[in-house]
Amino acid sequence: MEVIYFMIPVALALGGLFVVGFVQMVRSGQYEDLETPAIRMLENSEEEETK
Amino acid sequence: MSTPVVIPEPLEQSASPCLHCGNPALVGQFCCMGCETVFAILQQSGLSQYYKRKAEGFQLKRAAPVEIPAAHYENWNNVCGERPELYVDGVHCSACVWLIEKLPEVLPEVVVSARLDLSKSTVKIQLRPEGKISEIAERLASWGYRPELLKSEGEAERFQNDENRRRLIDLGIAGALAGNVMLMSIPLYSGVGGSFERVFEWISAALSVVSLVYCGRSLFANVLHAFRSRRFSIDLPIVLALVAAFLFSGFNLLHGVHSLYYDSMTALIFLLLASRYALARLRQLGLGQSAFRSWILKDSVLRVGDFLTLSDPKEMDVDVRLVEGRGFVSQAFLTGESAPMLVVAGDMIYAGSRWLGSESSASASRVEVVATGPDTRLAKILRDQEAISNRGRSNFERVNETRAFWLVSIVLVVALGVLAYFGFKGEWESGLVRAISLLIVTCPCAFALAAPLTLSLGMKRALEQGAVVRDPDFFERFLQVRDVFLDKTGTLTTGHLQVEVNAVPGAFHPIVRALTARSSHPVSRAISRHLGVGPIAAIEQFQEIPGFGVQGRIDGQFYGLFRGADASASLTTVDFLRDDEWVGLYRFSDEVRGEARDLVSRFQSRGFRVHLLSGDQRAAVQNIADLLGIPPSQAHARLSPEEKSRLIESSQASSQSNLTLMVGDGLNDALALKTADVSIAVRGGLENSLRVADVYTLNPGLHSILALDEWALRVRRVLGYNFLFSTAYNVFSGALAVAGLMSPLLAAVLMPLSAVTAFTATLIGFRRSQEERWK
Repeated sequence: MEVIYFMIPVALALGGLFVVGFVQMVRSGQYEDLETPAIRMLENSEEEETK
Repeated sequence: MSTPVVIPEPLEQSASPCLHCGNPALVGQFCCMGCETVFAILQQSGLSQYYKRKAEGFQLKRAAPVEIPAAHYENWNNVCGERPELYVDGVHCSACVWLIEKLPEVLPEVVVSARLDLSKSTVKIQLRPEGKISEIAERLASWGYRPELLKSEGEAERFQNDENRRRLIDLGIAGALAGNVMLMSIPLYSGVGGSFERVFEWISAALSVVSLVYCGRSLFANVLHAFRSRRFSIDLPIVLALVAAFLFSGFNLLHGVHSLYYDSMTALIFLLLASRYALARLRQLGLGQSAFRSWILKDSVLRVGDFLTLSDPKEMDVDVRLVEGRGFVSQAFLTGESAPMLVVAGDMIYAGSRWLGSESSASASRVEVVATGPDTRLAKILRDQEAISNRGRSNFERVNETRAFWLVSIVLVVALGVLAYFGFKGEWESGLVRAISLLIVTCPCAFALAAPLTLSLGMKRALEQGAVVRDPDFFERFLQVRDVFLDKTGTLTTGHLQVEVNAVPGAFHPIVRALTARSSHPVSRAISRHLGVGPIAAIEQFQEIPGFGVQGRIDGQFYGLFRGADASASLTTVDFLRDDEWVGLYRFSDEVRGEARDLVSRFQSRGFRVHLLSGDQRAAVQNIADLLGIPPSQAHARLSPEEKSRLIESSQASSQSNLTLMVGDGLNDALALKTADVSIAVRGGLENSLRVADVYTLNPGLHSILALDEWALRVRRVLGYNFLFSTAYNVFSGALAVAGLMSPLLAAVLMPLSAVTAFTATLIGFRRSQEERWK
């Protein structure tokens, strides 16, 4: 059970990593337009098909 | 959320749709020359895939391209920086994303990148140093879009953006902390023993310190702010409970007592932040509609002293003086008068009126810009009205505040009483536990969480149907309305001329078509539209006589359509003559919107008294009142803006508790919109006058208002059952807490549970039907 002393910091650090990632994403403005990227993605893949 | 594209009424009936825009085709396979040109341009530039993509995506009819002189865009080069933003009217589907983001490939020497935001219809462009925005604008216009340059992000907007990001980050962190604290609590609830228990307890304590101090700081700020202005914040019990729970848990932690509330505390902070964030975003969405932004910018493009050539119908957004030519102007938005007015050289055309066209299609009309932006007459009038405003609005805020005040006070007084009572008996600990249980378990969810959520969902659903609710208080006030005042011109009617009486024998229709086909006069267009497509007679010696009508020779006889002899000022009848002999006439009226009847009967069935207000002639008003089933005594004609406002005031004076609703569209209604307790502005052409209203619609027509009424009823129902649920919950659980039957642990479990129940009930209440979802 002592492994828990090791696992808890690891778990918290992992969680912290995701929080940092999330903060970065918000700062880069990814959450400001939620509609167009979904469509843009479709467009790009179609283009490759036709080429 | 996608802003629906303005759908123009089809000009005439025809079998096949235009290859470009989908409107009925009149010129070969296209509806107009403009669409044909766009089609050719796209084919030549190798962008014909656009049509394939468009056919695959969902399709809305879009406005046919309008000729805008290239010089219009030249001015932009001086005002825009390297990263301009354009508002593009006409984007609506994935094909548009594809096409517009092709700009860097199409104009490699001008554009570095172009990113379209479909939800706001804006394109962010990065220019090459030597690139000119006008080239992009011309290209977009040649594709049939209508670009408008937006002002670069102002200080206020940048601040709002930063604020939103900060809130979102807070919310994310609060969520992560709450999740981790819950994870740490699982071993505690499942009864882990020994030293591990202490470890998990201390970790949740550490995480919740971060949650309380960092994520909860905006809650503390609210309470402090309210306290400084001598008000009780609705957040007060929650903040007190948070602090008490935190301190109490800390006390227990230090004393080795295993009853901690860190999990419910962090969850509560997350839930609170989430609801606040959702509400704030929705509010901004309503206020920041691009319609307002594009208006702001148009001013900076046109300068005083510029000359413009007016051809197609257009809403005026600057004050101009006509220097050359003669034409027709509709001042329906300014005065309510539906008949077109003739303007000659030297006359002013004010912002807010609609240019209908030159008197004869042969001669162009030139105007000189006299005033722009804040100097226009329209802007001055609006400023005056905004100055008179701010009256009777805070009434409902006060009601809400009073409710919150009582709830907060009762809980605090009871908690203090319990603490004091048990303190006197020397049972401090038992008293503290009961008081904290009470503070935690009594949750003003119905006020603090579910009510804002209900209002914001109502606003969101209304927005989906094209009605922008600018004030969350709107629903409450709307539901107390008893007197409804409807404006006629532009609101119940489209504001366009329509043939009401066709007293010309059918045998002459080919002749009338021939006469009207060559004229761009609004009356001729109305007749063309009325007659539709059919055989056309061959005409010779066609002549348009400014101010009188059109004439021409057909089969050796002279035919003419002339302004009615009896009507001196307004153009409401047209006589049809053959060799000076009267054959028949057309009488015109304002076209009544199809859904106007539904709206009036819906309001009447709700028990509202529906009044009709108009600046128009009595006969025209009476006619429409009869059509819509409004009693003659409630149809008021020939009203000035001040008289409209006075009628509403007199209705307000007669009954205090019944509120008044004004539905209008133009500047002539702005004063009445301001006077009424609740106001809805219908989109005509003039976004600026809508600013005074509580609600404005994004689409012309009244469908949005019908939907709005539906959602307002839904809001009332959801608020009602949430209130009932919350009252029952608070009374019951509060009583248990005071009686000591509710441990803080149970309270901490019940409170989020009750909040989730209220949330879920609200969400279910606003579920769209299957049919609505697929619209």
